[in-house]
Amino acid sequence: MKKIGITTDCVCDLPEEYFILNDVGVVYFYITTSTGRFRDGYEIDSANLIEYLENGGEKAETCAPEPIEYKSFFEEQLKKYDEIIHISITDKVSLSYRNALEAVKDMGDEGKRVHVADSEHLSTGMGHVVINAVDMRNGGSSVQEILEETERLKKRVSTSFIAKNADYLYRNGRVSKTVRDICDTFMIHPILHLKNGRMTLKGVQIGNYDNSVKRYIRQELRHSKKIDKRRLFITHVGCTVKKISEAKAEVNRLCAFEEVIVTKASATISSNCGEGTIGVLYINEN
Amino acid sequence: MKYTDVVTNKKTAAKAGLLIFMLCTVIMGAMCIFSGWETWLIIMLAVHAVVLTVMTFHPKIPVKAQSAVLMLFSFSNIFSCSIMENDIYQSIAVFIGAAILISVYKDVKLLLTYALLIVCGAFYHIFVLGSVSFDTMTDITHFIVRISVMLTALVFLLVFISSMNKNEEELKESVAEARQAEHYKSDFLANMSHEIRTPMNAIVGMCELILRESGLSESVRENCFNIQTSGRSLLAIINDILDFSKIESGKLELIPDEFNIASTLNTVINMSEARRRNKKIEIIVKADPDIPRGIIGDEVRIRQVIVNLMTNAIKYTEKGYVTLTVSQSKQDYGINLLVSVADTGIGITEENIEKLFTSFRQVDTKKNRSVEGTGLGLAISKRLITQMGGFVGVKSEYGVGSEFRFVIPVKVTDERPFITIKEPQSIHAVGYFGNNDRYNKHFCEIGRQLNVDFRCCESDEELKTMSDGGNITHFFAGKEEYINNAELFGQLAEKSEVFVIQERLDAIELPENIKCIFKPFYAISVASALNNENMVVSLNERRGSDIRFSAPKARVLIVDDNAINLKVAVGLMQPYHMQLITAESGPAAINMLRSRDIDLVFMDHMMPEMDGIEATKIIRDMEGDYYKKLPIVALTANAVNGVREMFIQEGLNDFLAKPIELSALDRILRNYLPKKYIEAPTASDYAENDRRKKGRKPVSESVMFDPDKGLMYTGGSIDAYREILEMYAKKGPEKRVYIDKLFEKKDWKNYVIEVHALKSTSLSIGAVKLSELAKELELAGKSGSYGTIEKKNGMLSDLYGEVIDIVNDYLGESEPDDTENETAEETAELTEISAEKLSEYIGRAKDACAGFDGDAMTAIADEVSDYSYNGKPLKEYFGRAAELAEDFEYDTALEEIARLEAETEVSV
Repeated sequence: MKKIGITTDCVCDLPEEYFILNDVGVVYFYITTSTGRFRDGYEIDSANLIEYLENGGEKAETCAPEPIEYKSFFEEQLKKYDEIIHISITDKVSLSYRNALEAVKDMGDEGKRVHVADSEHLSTGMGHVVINAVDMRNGGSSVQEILEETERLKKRVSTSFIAKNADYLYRNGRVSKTVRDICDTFMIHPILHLKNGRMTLKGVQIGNYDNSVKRYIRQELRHSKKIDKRRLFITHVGCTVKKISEAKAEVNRLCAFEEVIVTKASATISSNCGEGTIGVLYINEN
Repeated sequence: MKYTDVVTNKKTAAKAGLLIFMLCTVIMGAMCIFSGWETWLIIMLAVHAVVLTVMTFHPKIPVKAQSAVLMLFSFSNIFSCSIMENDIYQSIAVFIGAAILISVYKDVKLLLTYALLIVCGAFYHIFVLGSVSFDTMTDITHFIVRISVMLTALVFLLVFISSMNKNEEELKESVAEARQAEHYKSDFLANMSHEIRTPMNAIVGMCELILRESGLSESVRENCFNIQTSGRSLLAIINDILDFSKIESGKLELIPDEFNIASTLNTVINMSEARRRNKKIEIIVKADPDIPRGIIGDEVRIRQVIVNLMTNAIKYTEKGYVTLTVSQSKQDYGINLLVSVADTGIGITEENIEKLFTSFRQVDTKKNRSVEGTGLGLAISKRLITQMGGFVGVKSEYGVGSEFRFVIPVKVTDERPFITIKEPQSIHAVGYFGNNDRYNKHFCEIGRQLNVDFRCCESDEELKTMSDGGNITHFFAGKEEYINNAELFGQLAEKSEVFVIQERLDAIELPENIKCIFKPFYAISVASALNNENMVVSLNERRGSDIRFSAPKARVLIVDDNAINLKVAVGLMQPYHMQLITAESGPAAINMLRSRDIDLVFMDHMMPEMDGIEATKIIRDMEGDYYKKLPIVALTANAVNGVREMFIQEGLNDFLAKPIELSALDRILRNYLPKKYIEAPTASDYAENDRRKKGRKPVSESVMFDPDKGLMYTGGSIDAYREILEMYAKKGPEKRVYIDKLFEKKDWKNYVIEVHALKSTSLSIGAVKLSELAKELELAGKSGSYGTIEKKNGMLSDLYGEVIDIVNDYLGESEPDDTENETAEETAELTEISAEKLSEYIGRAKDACAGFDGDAMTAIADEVSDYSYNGKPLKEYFGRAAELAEDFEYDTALEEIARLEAETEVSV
C-alpha cells in the first residue's frame, strides 16, 4: 500500500501539535519587515506582527514560498512518502498554489508523485480540508479518493470572519480610506467570507463590537440543522481569553458541536484583518 | 494615543461637522423654498455647502481652517435665516441645533460668540422687525419661557464643554506629571543603582582577593564563593533595574560587533549550571553546528536575553529538563538566529500569557512566592529583542511546561561553521546512556549534525557487541553506565577514546586514560572531545579565583595626575606581568606616545590642564593609523548612567570605573590587549600568595582608616599598599595646604579637581570618612553650593590632618619584615609631570631660596626625585639647588632654578 503524505501551508492555522501528531508537512509563508524576513508561525506569530504594526512598523509584507522552496520541500517529503497531497490556500488570495504547481512541474517525473489541491479557503476553513484529507489517509483512502473528496468538501466549508474595523483592509488595499473612515466613524464592523475562493464582503454589523460578534455568530449558525456538528473552529487574532470564552459560550448556546477548537490565526492571515478579528468556521452538511 | 490617532480624530470630527452642516443646510434650503425666501439665500447656502465639502475632503487643508470656515458659514446661514423668519421662535430649534453643532469643536469662545449672535438676532427681531409682541402677559410669558429654554440650552452646553475641557486639561497635566515622575524615577534609579553598585563591587572584589589565597579550607572557599555569587546576583538585579530605566527612557544603545556564538553559549551554560545548583533538573543544549562562526550583533545583550530565559526556566522548573536550542535560517542578509528555551516546569495559563511581558509582574505570585525575582527580566528581554529587529514568542501548557523563543536577524562575517570536526569520516562513536531515551536521541542528533557516525546502545550486551566490532574510535558513557562497566571501559580506553559524561557536583575521579565531560554535553563539548581538545577542568580550580592571564610583552600606559592612583593601578595590574608605563598628565602621555609603542592606554578623565578627553582627541588627530586604532580606556570615579556612551562618543574605546574592580579590569585587558600577547598563566601565577606581614595591626577602633579596604584596592599587595601610604603621608601636608589655599582664593574649579583626587586617593588607602567628605564637597563645588564648601572645608582640612597622622602612626608601628617580604615590581621609569606641576615646584623652590629655608629646599628636592619633565630628571636641578641652599648659597641656588626654567621653558 502506498504511503501517502499530506502537506499544507502554515496559513491553515491548525495547531502545531496536530501537525506533529499526524506527521503533516508544513510549508511556511514569510513576513518581511524592515529588519528581516521571518517564517510565519515559526519565527513570527500574529501577536508579534500586530504589535510591530501598531508600534509604527513601516513595512510588513507577506509572501508565499517561492517555487524553489516548494520544490525542496516536496523532495524532502518524497523521501518519506510514495505520494504527497499538498493542500494550498485559495489561489485567489495568494501565489502559493501557483508556486506549488510550478515546483511540481520543475520536478519532472518525480513531480507526478505530488498532487496540489486548491482548498479555495484559508485559515481553518482550509484546516477543515486538511483534517479531512488526513482522516481519509489514515482510513486507507487512495490519493484519487482524497482529491475527489477535497473537491466536494471545499464547496461545503464556510469560512468567514468579523473584523473589528477596516484598518487592515485599508492597509492591504482592499478598501479605500473613505470606507475605512466611515467604518470608524459609524462603528461598522465588516464581515468577510470566502466564496468560490474569493474574499468578499458578506455583510456588516454596526455598534458595540462585543455585541456585534455575538450577532455575527448567531447569524452564521442560524441554520444549525444544516451544519456538520463534528467540528467547529473559532479562529481569532489577538482576542483575550475572556472574549474567546464569550464567543465559545455563544456557539455552545446555539449549537452543540462535538468539538469546538480555538486557534490563533497566523501572521499572514492576521495582517489582512487586524487585531480583534474572530471567525467561526465549519462544514455544512451534504 | 499616537499623533496619527489625534489627527484622525480631528478629521473624523470635521467630517461629522460637515454632515450635520449639510443636514442643516438642506433644512434651511427647504425652508427657503417653501417659505418663499429670497433667492440669493438659496445660492448662498449652495455655495457654502460646496466650498465646505471641498475643504473637508481636500488633504492639504488643515482641520482648523475647515472648522473656522464652517463656523463662519454656519453663523451667516443661521443669521440670514433668523432674520428672514418673521417669528423668532421658529428659529429656536435651529439655534439649538447649531449650538450642538458648534459644541462638537469643544470651543467655549466659539459658543459664546454664537450666543452673542443669537442676542444680536433677538435684538434685530425685537427692535427692527418688531416680530416679538409684548402686548399681553401671555406674550411676555411666552417670550420669557422660550428665551429661557434657549439660554438654558446654551448654558448647559457651556458648562458641558467647560467641564470636558477642564477634564482634558487635567488629563494632560496628569500625563505630564506622570511623565515627569517617570523621568525622576529613572534618574533616581540610575543614581541609587550607582550608589548601591559601588559597595557591592567592593564585596565581590574582596571575595575575589580571598579566593586568590592558597591554604583556605574547602568550607571557607565554598562560603566565599557563595558570597561572591550572591553579590553578583544582586549586582545583576541592580543592572536589570538600570537597564529597564534606560530602555523605558529610550537611552539603551546596542553595540553590534562581530562575535562567535560558541563563547556566548559557553558563558550561558556556565551561568545556568551555577544557577541550577541542587535542583534535579538537567540542562540540555542543542546547537546547530552550521551556525556561522562570525556574526554581528550585541553579544552582551543577546547573552543577557538568553540568560534571562534560562534563569526563568530554571527558576520555575523543579524537575525534568531545561532545553536550550540554538539554530538558524539562512537569509539574503545573513541569517536569522533562533534561540528557544523549553522547560518541563509549571507552565503558564492563557490569561497569564497575556500579562507575561508586562514590567514588574511575576505571574501567579501566590503560587510562586518562593520564586525570587524582580519581574523585569522578560520585559527587558522583549524590548532588547525588539530593538534588535527580532521577535519573542511563548507557548505554554499549564502544568506541563513552557517554551520561550526569540529570533533576531544578524549579518554574517565568517560563513564557516562554528563547530567543525577534524576528519569526521574516520570517527565512529558509540554512546551508552542506558535506557535514557532523551540522551540517546540527543546524542544521535549531535552525531547527525556533526556528520559523524554516532550510534547508541541501550544495554551492556549491546555495548560489548559494538566494542567487539573493533572500529569504534570513541565511547561516550553516562556516569552510572561507566560505574557498572568500569573494567570494560578501562579495557576500551586502551584502544579508543573514552569519555564519561557527569554532573560537576557529584563528579567521580576517573583513571588517567578516561576523560570527563561535564554536563550539559552538547555539540561543542562533544566536538572538542572528538578533536582531542582538553575539556577537563578541575573542580577546585573552578571554585578558586579566576586565573589571570600573563602578558609580559604587552606595553600599557597609565595616565593619571594623581601619583597614588597611579600606584594603585600599577599594583592591580602587576599580576599580569605587563610592561607598565605611567604618565601624570595628558601632555606627558602624548609625548610618550610619540616616542614609543604602546598597546593600551588607561586615561584618567579628570586631570588639570588637559583632561583625558582632550588628550584623547589630540592623540586621535595625530598622524598615522596607529593613533586612530590605539585602544584608550577612560579611568573615572564617576561611573554614572550614560558615561560609557559619552566616552565612546569622545573617541575612547571603553571606561573602567574607579575604584578598579578586578573582574572589570580583567575584561578590559582581555578585550583590548593584542591577543598574541595573552599567554596562559604560569605555575607561579597559580601558586602566588600574598603574604601577610607579621605584626600588622589594623586600626580597628578608627572608622576613619581601614587598611583592609585599602589593601583590597591595591590588589592585596602589602608592599604596594605601604608605598601608597608613604606617598599619601608624604604628599598629604602639602596637598592639605594647597586645598586650603584654593579655598581661600575661592578658586572653585581647581578646588573641585583637588577634592575629587582626594576622594579617590583617600578611598584607595581605606580613609573612607575623609573620602566621603571630599565627595560631598566635590559635588557641592560642581553644583555651585559654595556655602556648603565654606561650612565644611575646615572640617575637611582637620580630618585630612588626622588621617595623615593616623597613616604615619600606622606606618611607624608596622615596619615590614625584610626577611619575609617580597618587594613589588617597581616601574623603572621616572614619572613625567605636567608643566603646571613643575611650575608649582619651581615657585616653591624660589620661595624657599628667597626665604633662606634650606630645609624646605631639601624637602622639595626629595619630592621631585622620582619625577622627570620632558625626559629630563628633575632631581638633577633641584638636588643641586638643595645642596647649594644647604651651603647657604641661596643666590646660586636661585640661578640653578632659573636654568631649569630656561631649559624647560616653564616658569612660575
